This record gives sequence, structure tokens and C-alpha cells, in this order.
Amino acid sequence: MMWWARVLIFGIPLAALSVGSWAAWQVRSTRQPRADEVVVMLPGALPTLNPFRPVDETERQMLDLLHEPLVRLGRNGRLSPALAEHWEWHRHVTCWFSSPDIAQQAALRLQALSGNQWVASQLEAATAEGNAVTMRFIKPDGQGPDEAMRSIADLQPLLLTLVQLPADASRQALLKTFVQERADLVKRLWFDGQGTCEMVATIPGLQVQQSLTQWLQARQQPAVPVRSVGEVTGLIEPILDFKLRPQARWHDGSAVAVEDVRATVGWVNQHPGSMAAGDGFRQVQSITAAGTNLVRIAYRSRYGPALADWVDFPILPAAWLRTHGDSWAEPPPGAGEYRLSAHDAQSVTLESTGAAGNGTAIKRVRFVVAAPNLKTRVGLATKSLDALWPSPLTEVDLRMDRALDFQATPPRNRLFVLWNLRSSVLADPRVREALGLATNRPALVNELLGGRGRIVDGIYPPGVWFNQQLSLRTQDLAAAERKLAEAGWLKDVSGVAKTAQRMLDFELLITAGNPWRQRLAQALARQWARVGARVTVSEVDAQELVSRRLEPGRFDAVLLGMDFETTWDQSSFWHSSRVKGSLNFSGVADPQLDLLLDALAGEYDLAQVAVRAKEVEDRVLSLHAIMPLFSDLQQIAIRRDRFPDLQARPTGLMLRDLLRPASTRVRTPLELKMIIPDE
Amino acid sequence: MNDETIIDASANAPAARLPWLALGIVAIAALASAMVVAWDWQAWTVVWAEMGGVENMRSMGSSLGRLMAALVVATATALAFAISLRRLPAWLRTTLAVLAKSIALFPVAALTWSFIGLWVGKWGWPIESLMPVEAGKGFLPRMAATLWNWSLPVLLLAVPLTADLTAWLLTTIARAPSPGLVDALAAKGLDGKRIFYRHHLPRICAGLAGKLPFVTLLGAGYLIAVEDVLDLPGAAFSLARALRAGAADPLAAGVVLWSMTAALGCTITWLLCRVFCPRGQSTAPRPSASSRLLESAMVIGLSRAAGWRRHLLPRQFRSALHLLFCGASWAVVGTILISTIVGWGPGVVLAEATKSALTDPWASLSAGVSPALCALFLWLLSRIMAPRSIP
Repeated sequence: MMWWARVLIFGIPLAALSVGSWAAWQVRSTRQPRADEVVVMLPGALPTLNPFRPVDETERQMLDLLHEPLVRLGRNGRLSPALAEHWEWHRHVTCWFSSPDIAQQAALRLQALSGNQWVASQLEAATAEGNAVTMRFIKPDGQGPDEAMRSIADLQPLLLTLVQLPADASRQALLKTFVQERADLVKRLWFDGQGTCEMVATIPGLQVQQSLTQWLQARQQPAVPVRSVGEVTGLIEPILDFKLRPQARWHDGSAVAVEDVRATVGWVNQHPGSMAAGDGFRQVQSITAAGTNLVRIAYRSRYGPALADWVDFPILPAAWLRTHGDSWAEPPPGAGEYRLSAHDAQSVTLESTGAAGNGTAIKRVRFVVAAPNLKTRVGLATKSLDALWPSPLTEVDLRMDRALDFQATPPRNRLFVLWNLRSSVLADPRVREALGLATNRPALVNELLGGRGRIVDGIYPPGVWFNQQLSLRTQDLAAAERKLAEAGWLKDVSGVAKTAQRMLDFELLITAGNPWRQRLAQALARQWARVGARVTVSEVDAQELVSRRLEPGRFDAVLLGMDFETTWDQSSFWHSSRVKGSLNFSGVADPQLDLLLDALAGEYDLAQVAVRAKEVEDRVLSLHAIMPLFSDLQQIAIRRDRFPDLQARPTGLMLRDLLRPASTRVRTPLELKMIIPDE
Repeated sequence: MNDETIIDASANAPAARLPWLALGIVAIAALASAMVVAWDWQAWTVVWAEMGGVENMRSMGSSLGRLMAALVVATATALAFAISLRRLPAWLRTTLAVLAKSIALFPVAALTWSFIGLWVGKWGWPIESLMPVEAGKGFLPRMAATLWNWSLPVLLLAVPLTADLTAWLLTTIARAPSPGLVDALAAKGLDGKRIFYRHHLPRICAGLAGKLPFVTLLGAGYLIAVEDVLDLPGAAFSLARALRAGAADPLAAGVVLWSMTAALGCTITWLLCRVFCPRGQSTAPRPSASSRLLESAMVIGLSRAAGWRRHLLPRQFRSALHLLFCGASWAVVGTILISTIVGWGPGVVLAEATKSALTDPWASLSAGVSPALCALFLWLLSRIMAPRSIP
């Protein structure tokens, strides 16, 4: 027991230390943070990455990297180009004549109009095709078409009849075939998605009825009642043109085409639950290609906010949609700056597409599933993690870490109290205003949300260009009591506000099974009790809340949560025509507001949208039909040393901005050079 | 016969014995768990199934592997230390032995957290099992990650085991075989180094072999903290997780799994010691110290009862006190270990300190000083109380 004993005794510790040291050194080397890679930790499991159904903010941000809409909300809260480098509104007016010769004659006459007449009528082009003449006007609104129509009136354009008929899903294919076969008579066909079909025909309604009945009888189908709803001589259609970027490519390298836009809209319309498609998509008459890269979307009625439906609406490849049917087992490819390169149970890796000009400095983004607090902190300490969405459990610890910069992401939803203007207690706007003044929202955010909420006043998403900067309403109990006194509600000795007839007591509805909302409602009731209101909080099943209480107007006040919308049209919430069967649960019926809402819905000029939206918002708030509480405040924690020159964005931080090179992250003012056209 | 083998070096060495007391504790723990199991067999089977049958075996295998590897490293390192320090003056060796013992009694969780605080929090170097992101692809990164994942818990676990063995070896290594034997070997021309390695070291190793099964059990206990802190799946980790959850059935399953691992570890160590450090068969068994003492008393005219009362009883009393204090010392260590995991009782201070380990690596070390001093005090008391050996 000499040499080998010594070898063993001294060799084993040395070998163990050597192996450990080598392994530690190797691991450290291989785990060195890479300049072109960013690792982001999610707050939970990996998302499914369905572009039309993002579950939370993290999935939304991942999808934003993978998919590209035609238009997006830019970092300054304004619309900015995405797949479409340019867009503009026009108006088409189409007239049909009894023969192609007359149509040709009408086109020539229009073309022969003087330059001044073209300018006056805002006419841009007039073309004949078959027995139809299509006039293209520069602006989607104005009186231009009337003047142009007068110049061809003597050629007697055919009278167009608008007819409506019931068309459930089973009959749609049949009606489409009818229209294809009788294209000489029926010029337009449109389904509203709710069981009604609309046709535009060059024959009177009765003849449409006869023609359709004969056609259906020949196929042994029952007749369909047809209702004539109007007659016009020229079919006016607002046109939205998107010019696709020639460089826009799918992740497989193929070019983004008009067909992709059409297929995506078609898929969404066929799957109503896939996403909250706005009114605009329902008004789409057709999507056609006008040239290689021009998407021409014809709308059946005048609706300026239709553009908002395209904002952040992801476009998918038509070929993929065709081959993957209704249920997707895998995330669809997109045209975003990053593509999915690896996907397992623990992580998702996105790689930069490397498309020219996409400006990405980070070549790879790795999203990993949430880890316990310790692992998260180890990841940050070893610089293995660059950013993370803290969960409520880890946030408290992470906030102590000075190496982290917490940045708010865009708000996505809001919580508000909706008053019923028909309620006997709350009918007086001064009472509703008083309750608003009695509400201490900072206290609610701190006590119930732990600071994870953003107080909002107003009806539009914070940060967007049409949202005005409102000064936040603060609690003022004295003012609230004054308002109530003005309205005749005076406190008695027990502290309850009363009039001669009744007490100020009302019911606040909330959805059942939400303890947090229950606590919030109770807290609101306590705050309102300080000015004498006696509030009963009632829980109603979510299924029944709308159908049994809100739509029939059987409520006093309701605490509602709702996602922010990209559209600026608020008609569905506040227009008097939407009291029945829509979202105007408050029962607001204000003629002035109706006019303002109509004007906003008909506005195409984005600069004017902000002005009109402000007018609408001011009017809605002056009615005190809604008491906005707060929006969500989701924050992403970012390692300061990884992104040292990060700046906050008014609309909230997007990962897209984080991944761009530092130089492009700093906003520089645009230098626009005026070019005067040669005379 | 060679001149150098005139004496069987391991003849009088103590045999490697199974730590019946320790194994008894394990058996009691397992029995208590079995009672919980019997109380609600259905629930327990669900828990066991959730833990996974094959997975359980894998957990046991992982823990056993770490334990055995740590034991090998600790034994070799302790021997290396003891051999290197054997020529130091006795007072210095004693001081070092006490220092080593204080490390062995220091809460392992505190040591591990401090290491994590330094390694990760201060230097920013990775610990594979605590990384939220998997290692990169490729053979080398994977192999390095696996090695690091294995070597770190082994090295961390080896620290207190090495300290415990070193403390024992430093007090034992200087006890030379009988001076006559050394003189006889020297007279035959053997130098000191040869005498040490050829004749003294095997005797020490044989003594060490007697201690190793107990150290294995100690390691199994320390492993609970190491696997828990480093988030390494294993039998000890299951027990720590169950302790934290506090539910009866997972706890019973965890105790059974850990007990089986500990008992298996002890048995393997015992078998290995039997194989590699066989007890000499050449000499007849010596009478015990007590019987020799009693016989001596009777020789000088005392009755058996008077001899027992005057000479044996004080000795037995001191032995009992020695055992009591020694047990109390280890009880403190065990209590701190468990209560740190549960975050309750005496371990709550340490549990709180571990939360800031990444920013303040010394906080958990500071929190571990008090319980370590308490355990050391009791151990020193037991040492004082231990009866002197009879030549």
C-alpha cells in the first residue's frame, strides 16, 4: 500500500476538482450571452400562436414578430405601413347601360369633360367595361359623383334595384351560382353574415323575384321571398387601395400577393369566432387585384373606420390556409420580421428572416417557459435572460432588482362602470357625475391591483393618435355631495342620501364567479356610501348578464371589462339606433351625439378623425353614461445593461421595438422635402 | 514470509460495522411512513403513481450516485488532508480538527446558498440545474452541462463529509501503533514513510471503514439540503419537496424513498468496506475494555459489585453523557436542516437569509453561524465527556 494508495488518495480529489472546474469553465463559455440573441421568459406556458386568437399580451407580442398586417399602429400611436407601403381611399361609381356602345359613349363623354370639371367633380378616371361605366373619384366623399352623373344622365343609365332576401348558410352556394349564371342581371351579391343576402340588379325587384323563382324551381328548390329596398342609377362604392410592398415575403420566400389578403379575410369571415372582426369586414363587397401589388377593397357602404379593421390584422398565406383547413395543429407562417425556427415543450425560437431593410439587429429570439423565482433570478444574474414578463408571484422580488427596467406594454383592456340612463335613480346626470367624483381610483388600483393598473379617463385606447389627453378625474367628496344636493339628494342622519320620494339605492351588477371583481364592486360600494349611496352588489351569470339584464335595460349600473378596439367608431356603444340588439346598454339617445357619431363614422381623413373623435368623447363623457376606471398594466422587465438606451413609448413597449438596432430605436424627426411638379 | 509482513497491520483494527443505530432510525422513519400509508393506502398509491414508479427508481439512483461519489471524494480528500497535516504539532492538529468539525456541523443549506450567492450572484457564472434556459445544442455543451450538473452537487456534498472525516482523522492519525512495533520495523531498516504507508495507514483505513457507514447516513441527510437548493431531482429532493408541501401522503412517500436510498447507501458502503478493508483473522478476539477493567479490580481484591460501582459506573455514566451530547449535536444539525426547508422554527432565520443569497452571499453564512456554534458546543461537550481509552 504505497504508490497506488497515494495515487488514489491524492488523485481522486484532484480529478474531481479538475472535472468540476473544466465543466464549469465549459458551461460558462457556452453560456456566454450572444449579442445577436435575446432570451425572453414568458409568464407561463408556451402559447399556441394562433394569430387570430392571442390569449395574452405575451402571445400578442410574439405574434407581432411573426405576422405582419397591412397597416400597424406605429410607435408614435399613429398608423404606419407594414405589408402595405401605402393606402388611400377612393370612390367608384358604376352605371350600367342598355348596351356596350352606350357605355362606351358615356365613358368618352366623361373623358371629354374639361380639366376644371374633372377637378371640380374630383373625377380621376372613367372607364367602360361591357355595358358598365366605372367612374373613379379621388375622394371617398363629396358631391363629385352627382356632377359627373348629370353629364351622362341623358344616356339613360339603367335603374339599379337593391333587393334583400333571406339566405342561410345552406343557400349561399346556391345564390352564388345564380348570380354567376345571371351576371347580366345581378351585378352585386353580398351576405351580411346574419342570414340575409343583398343583391344589386339592373332589373326591377319583381323581375328579380320571378327570375330567381324560375331558376330555383328548375333545380327543385323552394322559392325565396325577395324584398326591394331601394333604387339608384349609379352604384357608389368606397374603395380602399393598399399598395403592397414589393419586398414583402412569406417565410418560405414567396411574395405576398393580393390573393393572400383575400384568403385571410375569407377565412376570418367563415370563422366568426376566430377574432373580433369589426363592422368594416362585414361591409366588404369584394377584394380584387388592381395590378401586381395593389389590393382593391370595395365596400358596400360609406364607412371611414373600415380602415381600422386592417390595423394589426395579420395576413396569412393563401396556400397555407387552403391546405390547413379549419383546425390548425401548428402555428401558421407569416410575413413578419421573424419566423418560427424551433418549437419544443420548453421554448420557442424565432429567427430573423433577414429580409432586406427589416432593420433587425437581433437574429434570434428565444422564448422560454416561466421558471420559479430563483431560476429567474439566476437567469438574470448569469445574463442568460434578457427580458421577462414577471408573474404576480415573482414581481415583488424582481422589482427590488435595480438591474431591471420595467416597461409598460400597450394596454389591451379596460374596466368601467356603465350607468343605465333609464334607471329611475341614475337618470339625472348629476347623480352619475357625483358618483364619479366620489370614486377614488388610485386607492382601488393600489389596494386591489397592487399597482398593476393604469387609470384611464376616456373611451379610446391610451396612446393612439385619436385619443385626447384628458386630465385625470380625482376624488372630490365635497363636490360629489354638492352635485347630489343640486339633484335633490340630501343625506339624512344615518348618512343615506334621499329625496322626498326615495333613497339613493341602486344595484351594481357584476359577472358571477369572479372574486376579484366582487371585491372591486364592494370597494366601489363603500366609496359611494360615503356620499350617501346605498349599493347592492349582485352577481349575474355571464351568459345571462347581457341577454337578460343589459339588453333589456334591466339594471342600474354594471361593472364591465372590455378589450380596447383599434377602431375609432363608437356608434355601437352610444348611437341611439343601437339601443336594441347592440352594445348601447346604457340607453343613450342623444341627438347631438348621434350626429357626431355619424360624422365620425363617415370621416376618411385621418387628421380629421382625431378632431371628431374628441368631439364624440367629450359628448359621451359629458353625459356621464360611463365611468372609466382603469386599464390593465402589463409590464416587461428588461435588463438595463442589455438594452441601455431603451426609451418608453407612448403606446407602450413592443418587443419589435426592443429588437431593433439601438440607432433606429431613437426617434428622429422626419425631413420631408417638398417636390413641386413640373407645370 | 517477508520481513515487512511480520505483523498483520489490520489485526487489531475495528471492523466496518453496519450502523445499527442509524439504520434503526431509518427503519423507524420508514415504519412511521408505512403507518401513514396503511392508514390511507388508496391515497398513497395515487401519490406514489404520481411520483412515477420508474421515476422513483431513477430518483433513487441519482441520489445514490451523488451520495456514493461524494463519499469517495470526501474519503480521499480527508485522507489527503490528514496525511499532509500529520506532522503538525498536536495542538494545531486538534485546533484544525475542531475547525473541520465546525464545518461538518455548519448548516449545509447555508454553505450551498453562499456558494450560489458567490458563484451566480457575484460572479455571474452559471449553475446548470438552476438555469431557466437549457444548455446549447452540440456534444461539448451537453457533456459539459451534464458533468457540471453532476460534479457540483458531489463537490458541495463532499465538503461537510470531508470536514467530518478530516476532524476524525486528524485526531486518529497521530496515534501510532505500539512504539515497540515502530521500533521493530525501524530496526529492520524501514524508513518512517514506509512504516506509515505500509503499517499505519491500513490500520487508519480500517478504522475509517468503521466510520464510513455512519458518514454515509450523514451524507444522505445533507443530500436533502443540496438537492433541494440546487433543484436536482432525486430521492432527497422528493423528501424536501414533500416537507415543504406538508401533505401527509407525499411526505410518507418521500420518507420511504429517502430512507431506502440512505439504507442502500449504508449497506453498499459497508459491503465495500468489508471487501477492501478486511478485518485480520490471525489474532484471537481481545476482551473488552470494561471486562479488563473489572478483572483488574477483582485482582486487587474488590468484589464484582464494588469494582463495577467504583470503576465501571463512572465510565458508563460518561459514555452515556457522551452519547447524549453527541446525539444532541447532530439533532441540532438535523433540526436546522429540516426547519430551513419548511421555513419554520429555528431554521426560519436561515430560510429568510437564503432569499437574499444572490445579492448578499454572506447573509446565509451569517445566519448559519449560530446553529453551527450550538452544535459545535454540544459536540465539544460530548468530546469532554467521552471516557478515556484504556490501553
